[in-house]
Amino acid sequence: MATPLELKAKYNPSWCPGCGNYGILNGIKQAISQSGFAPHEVVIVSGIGCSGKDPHFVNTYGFEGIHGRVLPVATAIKLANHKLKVIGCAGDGDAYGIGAAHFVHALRRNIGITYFVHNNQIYGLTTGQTSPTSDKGFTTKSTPGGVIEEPFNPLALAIAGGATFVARAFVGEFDQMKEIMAKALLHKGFALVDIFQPCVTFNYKNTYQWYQERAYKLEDEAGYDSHDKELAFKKAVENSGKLPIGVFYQEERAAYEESVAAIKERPLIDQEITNIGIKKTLEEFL
Amino acid sequence: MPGQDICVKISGEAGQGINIAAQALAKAFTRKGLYVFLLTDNPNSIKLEPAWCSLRISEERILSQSHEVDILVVLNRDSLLRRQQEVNIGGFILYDQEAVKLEDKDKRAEAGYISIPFDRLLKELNAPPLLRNTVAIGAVLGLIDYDIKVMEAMLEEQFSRKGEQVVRQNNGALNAGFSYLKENFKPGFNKKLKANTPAGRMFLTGNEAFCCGALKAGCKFIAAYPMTPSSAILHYLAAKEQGYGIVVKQAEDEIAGMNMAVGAGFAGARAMTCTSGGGFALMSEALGMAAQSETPVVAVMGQRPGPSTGQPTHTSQADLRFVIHASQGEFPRIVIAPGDAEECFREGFNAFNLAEKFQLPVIVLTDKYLVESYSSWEGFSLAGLNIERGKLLNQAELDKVSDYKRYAFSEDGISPRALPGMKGGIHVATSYEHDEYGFYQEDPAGVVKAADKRFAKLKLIEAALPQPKIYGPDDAEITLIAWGSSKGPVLEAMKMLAQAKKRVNFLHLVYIWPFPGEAVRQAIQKAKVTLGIEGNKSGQMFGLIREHTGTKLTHSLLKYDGQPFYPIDIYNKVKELF
Repeated sequence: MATPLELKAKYNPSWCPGCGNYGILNGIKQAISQSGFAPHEVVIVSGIGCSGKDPHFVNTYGFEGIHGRVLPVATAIKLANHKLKVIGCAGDGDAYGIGAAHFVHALRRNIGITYFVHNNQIYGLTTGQTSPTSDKGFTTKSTPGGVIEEPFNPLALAIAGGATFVARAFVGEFDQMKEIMAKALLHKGFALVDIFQPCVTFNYKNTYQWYQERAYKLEDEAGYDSHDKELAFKKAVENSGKLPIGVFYQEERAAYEESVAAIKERPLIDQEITNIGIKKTLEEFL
Repeated sequence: MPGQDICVKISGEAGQGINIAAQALAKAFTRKGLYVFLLTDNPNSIKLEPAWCSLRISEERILSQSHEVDILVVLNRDSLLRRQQEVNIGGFILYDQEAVKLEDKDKRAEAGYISIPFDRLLKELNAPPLLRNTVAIGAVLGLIDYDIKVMEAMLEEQFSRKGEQVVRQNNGALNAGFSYLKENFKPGFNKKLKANTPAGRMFLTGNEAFCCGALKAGCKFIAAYPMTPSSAILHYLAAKEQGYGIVVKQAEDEIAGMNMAVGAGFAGARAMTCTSGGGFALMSEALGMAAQSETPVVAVMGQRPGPSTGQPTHTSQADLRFVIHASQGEFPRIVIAPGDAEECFREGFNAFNLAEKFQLPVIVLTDKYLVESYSSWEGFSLAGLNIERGKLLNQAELDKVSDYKRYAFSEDGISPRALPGMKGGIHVATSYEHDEYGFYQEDPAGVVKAADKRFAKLKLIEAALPQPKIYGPDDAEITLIAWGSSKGPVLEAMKMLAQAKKRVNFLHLVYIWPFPGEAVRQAIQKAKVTLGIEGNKSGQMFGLIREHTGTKLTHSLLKYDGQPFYPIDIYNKVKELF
């Protein structure tokens, strides 16, 4: 286990002052520390976008891949060495736009990845175009007349798609976010944490104040049971103008890697390859 | 043609079990010590469209199919009308007159027509019409007067898991075809096959051979999306998942397939993906990511004719330029194009060593013809197949490093590699341009240094890769140049040309990229006449040779009809030249 300070890398982030990513980064370090993982046992996989730079600022292993492909890379790392704690860091474009196909399959696969989606409802690094989670009517450089589509609902999709841990956090509610992150890290299987994270430069609408006014905590709601799938789905599609934050849904189910025969005894990378016998296999062609 | 060959073509429609029957027959011949080359031609449909396969059986080692047809077996009328012109003078056509009702005026005078009542014989046996193929094989064995026992054993082996009744029906069908022919037809076939001493030969496809090489190389992870002609790799390794401890993942798409393979490679497993042109297009971005992050990965790219969906079940060599240039930016990669099943095995092994030694993507460029054709081989030699993992650190070695840099500059351009999970090796592997630690950098001098570091590997790679091989005499009148799967047809054509007293040699390229410019230059500078042979429209290798040697080949033979080269194509072209 490492302290958050020990999890600080030698590089400093260069996000815009006030960016929600600073809080998420802090949360990642604190949650890793709290969950007790040693830095060398953790791999953070990221894509492209402002969130893509996360791995450089945490003193763990990292793989900074290409846009939208966080989950395939992370999936394979987990399968190659399931002793590692694999974290995916993606933006809303990464996760729900270009990478949507991988998202859907990670849900049904229930692979042991903790997925932190930095959701600011806009494309920041490409300087302000619409995102799959942009609100309807939102005007951006690429949608000057306002977004026509309905926003993508990651929570509802995740619950419907077979996810076993589905949560939403807001970086402005740091303590709750950090606790959700720590829980997600300890969850067996695929854990989605969708995190509202204001883009202070390009999103003029969904600001800290905007989220603050709408967010309310699920744990404060009497009778909410995060093990009730139907209730969770209702909450995920709630159309009250408010934004529930907290753990929407969780269930215990075998993780994908637990059912893969080849890695039952030891991780793939620990299996000896120097002198593999193939004589019998070749004889099958006689 | 040297030696005694018999060529049998079986033609019908998809779903009639032509391939299965031909495979069993071919394997039976192989077991009797004969050599067989089996070429299949399948339509892009599961049922009804025309399909055929051809077996060339010989007492001598053969390296490709032949255009000859000694015996044509047709399972429907369409095939008969379509194919009867292909039969040699003096050859035979086995068909079912009761079903096909061919009029005498439509028959060729030069061929013998033998009607075998497939359906009637099967009805008598109370066996399903699907077994026409087995009746036909019995008749073929009767015609060439060959021992039927070896085929009976083969059928038993093939169908025993489906139950005793299926075995009995198949053997009944086989014997019915055999006896019917013997009883109703007086011997007239002039070719004979001697059963040699059984030599313990293998009979397999290029894909199967590749997989065996990959297994030997310790390939532990494959993620792929099904695509002809590479899906068989996914199937074969999936069947070996338990025995060899491999993780086989059918990915949601090819993008995921390649990204997964790179992810597993980063984590330290020997990893691969396989696809064809369309899938490789989707993989291209992650191919560059493997190069930029210096992650070992192997990709099998099985060519079929494009553009776009093209002809999914046919063959082509038109993706050479595509694979050597795929993905944005510039980076070293290795492209290997094996020429036959044995080379598929060997290069299947080598690819994984090269990927790890040089920390880069290795592309194994195959094609439908190479990977789906079956051929007979003496056992593959396992000598010298040693696992080499290059500068992969173990924990003890890493413990001695104080300030670990994943992309440390070194003279040979290769940096020591630590794996996630190791203490003291923490780093970020990245798709961005980066410094020695893997941190993003934009400083112009640093960017140049980083790119030069990656390209520095080329020197070592070029020294390590085997040179193109020259077959035939030094002082030839004509030098043939081909790459990948055209090897077999070219070597077979050379046998024919030798009989015609032509002095011909052949430069065959397996290691295609980095392009072996100097070796090619030396090989072709002595030749007065050079003939480039490849399966594409634009002469892609032809152009590469000109680009890298400054020499223009004098002639070219290009084929882009979806079919492989036949030895006769090459023979005729050479005869035309001198």
